[in-house]
Amino acid sequence: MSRWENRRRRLIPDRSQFWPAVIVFAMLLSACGGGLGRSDAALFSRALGDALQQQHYSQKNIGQLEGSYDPKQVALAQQSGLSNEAVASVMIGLRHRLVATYARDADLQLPSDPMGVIAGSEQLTSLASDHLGNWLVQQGRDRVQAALEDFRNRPDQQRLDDLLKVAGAEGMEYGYFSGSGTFWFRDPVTGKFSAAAFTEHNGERLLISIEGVATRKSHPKYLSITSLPVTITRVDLWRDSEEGRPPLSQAGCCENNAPHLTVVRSIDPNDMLFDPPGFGSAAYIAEDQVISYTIRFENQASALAPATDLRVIADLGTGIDLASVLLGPSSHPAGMTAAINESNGTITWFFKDITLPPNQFAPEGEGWVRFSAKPRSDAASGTLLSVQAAIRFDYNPPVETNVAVHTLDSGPPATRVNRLAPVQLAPGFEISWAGSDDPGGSGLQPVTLLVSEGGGPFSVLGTFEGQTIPFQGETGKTYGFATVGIDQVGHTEAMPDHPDATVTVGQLLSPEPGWQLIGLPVVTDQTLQQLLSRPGTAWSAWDSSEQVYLPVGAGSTDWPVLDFDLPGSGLWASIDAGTSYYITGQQVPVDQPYSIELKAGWNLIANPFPIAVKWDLNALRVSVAGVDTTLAEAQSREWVEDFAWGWNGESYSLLYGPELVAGVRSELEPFKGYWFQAHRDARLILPPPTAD
Amino acid sequence: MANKYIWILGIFAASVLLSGGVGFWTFFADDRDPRIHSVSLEPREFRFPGGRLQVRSEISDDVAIDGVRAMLRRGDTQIALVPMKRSDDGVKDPIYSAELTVPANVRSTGQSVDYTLQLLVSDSAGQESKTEVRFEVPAPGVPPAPPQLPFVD
Repeated sequence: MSRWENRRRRLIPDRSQFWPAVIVFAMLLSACGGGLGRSDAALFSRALGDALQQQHYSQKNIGQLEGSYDPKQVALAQQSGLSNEAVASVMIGLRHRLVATYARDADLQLPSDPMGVIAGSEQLTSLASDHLGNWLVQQGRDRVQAALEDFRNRPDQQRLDDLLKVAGAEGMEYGYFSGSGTFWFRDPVTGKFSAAAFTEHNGERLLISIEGVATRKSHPKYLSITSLPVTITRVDLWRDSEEGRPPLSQAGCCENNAPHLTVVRSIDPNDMLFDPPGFGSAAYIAEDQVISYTIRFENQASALAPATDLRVIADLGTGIDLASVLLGPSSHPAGMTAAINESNGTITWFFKDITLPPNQFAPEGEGWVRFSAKPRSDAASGTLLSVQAAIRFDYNPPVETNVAVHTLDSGPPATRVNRLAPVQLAPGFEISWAGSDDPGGSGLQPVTLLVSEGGGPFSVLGTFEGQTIPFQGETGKTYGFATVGIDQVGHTEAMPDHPDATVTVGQLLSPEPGWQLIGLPVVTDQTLQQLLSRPGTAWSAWDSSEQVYLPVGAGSTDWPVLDFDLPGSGLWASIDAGTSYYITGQQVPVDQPYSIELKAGWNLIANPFPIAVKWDLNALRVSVAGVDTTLAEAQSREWVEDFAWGWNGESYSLLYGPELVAGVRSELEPFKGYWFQAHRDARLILPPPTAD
Repeated sequence: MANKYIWILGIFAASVLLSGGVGFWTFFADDRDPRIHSVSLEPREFRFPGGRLQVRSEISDDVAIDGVRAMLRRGDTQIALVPMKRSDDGVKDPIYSAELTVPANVRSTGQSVDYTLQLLVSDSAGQESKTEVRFEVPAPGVPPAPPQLPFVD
């Protein structure tokens, strides 16, 4: 459909109403007798009738008027830069202007252009013919121009007579407006024109006051108002003596008990309230929450008339479960009907004869409807629930309320305790957790930390805001940790049935009898003797600088003073059967790399973490003189070897990439020591064991 | 009768010409062993993890080669026996190749492992030739032995 057709259809709500105009013009043009043939005249009339906005107001069709008026388009048309739409607008007025032109010519003293847009009837006539011609040329009917010229050239009085004759023959009286606020009408009895006052307010209000109109019972009074350039949404025609006269007449606008034709608009400010408001700026709600909506409307105090019929249409959008809609009470239940349209997701309330007065004495002009609904059960978190209502008073254009927007949060959050070293050498340590609400959800509240001791049931340790939670345990005990998250709309994560992380505080070190290669991943101020001296034990460390064993500490004497860090350094231990240690102390951070100093030659290293570290040739790195590369590359550069030796109590066993050599050790086990060979001074950098 | 002999002689002469002269007779007489001109290994040396071993050999025979196999042995133990495939361009002497996996040496004693790679070639007459190439896989470096008690520096 073209823009022109769209425009035309919008302007002309009911084509049947134009047939009188068409007939009038057809006869008019026939009477002209110009170069326009019968068929051309009919065609012209039809085309013109389609283009013109001619409405006939009577008691029979009160309230059926709709039109449009766009002063900007008329102004554009004046400039002759005409689009189809502009032409249409001009033509809506042209019919009226032509009449006005004849009226002036007939000495009816039309003071100015009835639309107040174009001054001077001569110009009016010229523009009328030009624009009509332009438009009709577009329609392939340029001969109309000649017909108009012919019509114009006839004697003025004759033309007017013809016009009135035609109008009268149709049983219609007609009127027109002058720019000075006068409505000129033809009395159907006397056949003479009379003037009536009218005012216009920017297309919002049109009041016509007609005096001295005689009526005939057999011939109901008609006012043929051609192409009113206003938006007319409601028409009341009454006499002062009639009951139900609106306040308008009380304002003193209409004197002498004259009949009035008023075109008024009721004014309807409105809004929508909703509860609950939802969480946060996005107004999150849970999927099982019931939302109550209240749509309020008002016929504004400044309105000129009561609203008779009222429609409230709530568009529930796509996020509302229509099956959950419950219609609530309303302010005006009498005569109200409500229906849910599941095909388009709307609720329509219709108030027949609500007679809602202007709200001069609140709340007499106010009203409301209520309903409740729930979100769709299958909607995902993040789905917007947008509900908006349109309120239509009588034939006013619908006025939309604010949009009630909620955001759905339909799922619980998911949280878990981050990986922890299974052995915590210090009784006090931190637990960290990670997690989030489901995608699109409302977000997390502080998490609840659950702890179990010795594999027992969970108990609540507390609710915590931060990502790390301090915990104080006891040496020798084992703890399990888990978290439960709650989102901002109340979704609670399922209670875990097993801990996310289990931790033993302190490491019980009880090596097999004989020499064992061990590691002590603790940071301590104690001397090796203080730390390790026990009856029946012997210890030895490796001086990698000299490539010799340090003097062994046996029993409680001859303990060497170590000048290296215990974490990352291997030790030989010879412990009698039954001797054991609880290794406690500060451990190195398990979420950061750890660097072990290497000397050219053999180095006795150990896992610095209380967690196994995979021997990955591409994850372990070697740094030599500030140059950092992978272990694999470092081997190819002959900086270091890429294997290590562990001790199984009787012999060495190879530690290497299991993907390269099957059956070898693949991890640096915690509390174990290893031999590692470097060909130059370097640093072996172990990745954080919690990185994976 | 004389014509009969003339015909026989003519057919014989034509056969000789059509079959390329002397080759006609050699086709039926494969009396040489296949010859192994060269053997090459890639890589030439291994580290302790062992790995893939590429074997290439240039081989010829006066008539036709029937099959070429590569056998990897550690001492008397056969580790692998794989057929070698011809991979030359068909113009020069045939080149045969194969790929084997050499096991890792994870001995903690530092002792290397000796391997023998044997090529076995047979021709269409069932005659065989073979050759051997030896190589070793070293062990990883050996760490210091555990300390002794009583400790002696």
